[in-house]
Amino acid sequence: MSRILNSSFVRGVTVDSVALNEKFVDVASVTAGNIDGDNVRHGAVDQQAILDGTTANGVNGYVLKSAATMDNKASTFGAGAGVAYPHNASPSPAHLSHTGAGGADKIDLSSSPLTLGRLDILRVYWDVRINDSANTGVSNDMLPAQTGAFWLVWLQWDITSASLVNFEAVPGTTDFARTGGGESVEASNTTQGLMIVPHCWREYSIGSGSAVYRKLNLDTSFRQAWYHRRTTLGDITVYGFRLVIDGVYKSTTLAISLDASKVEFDEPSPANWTNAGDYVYFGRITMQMLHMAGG
Amino acid sequence: MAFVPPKTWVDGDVVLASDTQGSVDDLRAYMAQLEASAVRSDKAWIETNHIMRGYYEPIINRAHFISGVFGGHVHTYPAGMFTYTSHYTGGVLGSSARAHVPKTTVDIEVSRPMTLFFQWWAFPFMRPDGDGSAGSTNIYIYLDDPETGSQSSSRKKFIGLDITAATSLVTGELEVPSDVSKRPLQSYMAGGFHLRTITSPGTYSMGLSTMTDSIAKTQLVAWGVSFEGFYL
Repeated sequence: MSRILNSSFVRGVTVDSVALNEKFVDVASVTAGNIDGDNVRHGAVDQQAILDGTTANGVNGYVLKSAATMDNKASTFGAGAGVAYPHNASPSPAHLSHTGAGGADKIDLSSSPLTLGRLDILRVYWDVRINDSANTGVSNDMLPAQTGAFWLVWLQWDITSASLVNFEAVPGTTDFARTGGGESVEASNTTQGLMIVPHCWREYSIGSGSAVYRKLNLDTSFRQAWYHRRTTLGDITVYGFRLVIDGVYKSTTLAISLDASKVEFDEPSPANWTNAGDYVYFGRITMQMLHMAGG
Repeated sequence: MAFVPPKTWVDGDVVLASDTQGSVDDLRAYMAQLEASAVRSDKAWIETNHIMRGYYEPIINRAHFISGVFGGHVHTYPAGMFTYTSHYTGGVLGSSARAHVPKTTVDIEVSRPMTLFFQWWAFPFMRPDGDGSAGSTNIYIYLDDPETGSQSSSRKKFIGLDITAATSLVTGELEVPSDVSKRPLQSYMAGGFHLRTITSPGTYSMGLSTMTDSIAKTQLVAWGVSFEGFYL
């Protein structure tokens, strides 16, 4: 029972220093870590009673534990502009690392890593502006067999060290590899942090009475989000997030089971589409991250 | 830390009104904003009646909690209402001026500093103005002022399909009327988001602004906006 019981002064009784101090010492002793439900009674704690929440950004760890943004601030864009990420880049995958003046190429938490506890929630959103410029130096830059080809962009994090040299795919996402047999994507829990960017595709033209080939317009935007709730016991430390790209990929034509599908980097046989010289151009890239308490 | 009265009397002290008033005032201030260290931490003590209930505004779909403010709205075809992003229909004739997109704004009362996350999606139709250029529509997220409050990093752009360029890939395509060398994109599912902090209490507006170039109109037939404002 920590409720403060503080009797009133009695008329006609001389107040001495002890009685006077007691009016405040009682409060002091109770507020030394002893406030409990008896003090709150049937009232409720409202916003005004909470000292937390007066920080400049409202991030106090109760609902929102932390937030971060990244903007590469790349401003040059248009036909032939932007930064090219080529087919068959090395190393694979390639980090989307280009920046403009003062821009960042990742969400860098190395100076203040976030601790992801059990039931915590991570939400990462990203937005890219892309100019897919297919093939340079080749007059017919859209071969019919290239239709249905695409680039893969996915989210990685570093949970190893603040040096940020150990990025790996976030949970629920595959680090795609250029395996000859194709990369299996039969389960949705391997593609949660994956964004597919079309390279070229085919559609029917009424005017020509045949299928025609399309590529992205200049400055096309794509956005994607990844959501993760940690369910395993124990904390992990997250030092950063980044986006990587690899391509050109295509749905496989290899024999697959009915309940599975795969993407592959190159078709071994027949080699029926030509990738050499294919590029995708990236301009502005932004990312936002919310770390929320879930439990 | 625990409450520390500013005045401790000893025998022989004269009880001054200012000392007593000072201690009472200090006590009132302390109790108004209890610190975590004042509360028992060795056992659970909160009951449901200790938690301030959230306040929900059903007409505008918004909920207020101690921890933050959350809401948004969605407009779809059955509602029979469209909104326009073009500078002609928006009353802004300059292609570099940004105009507010009607029915995309949320007004947010902020009572203490918050981190605000805003999201939107839209399904637009674009119509050509017949000048022979593909044209484009930009949509931005803005805070308070559609013109000056727009965030450049939030831009989303729809561009008309450039048939002239496509003919290098597609020989003999004839589906475009001869008097319009370029046609607009018919539809484009789009969306965006923006994360920012608001450090000063007040009422803020957040929504979409637009800037179009060589497009007769861009019409949103379905769209939605939502926001999450975190205090704690």
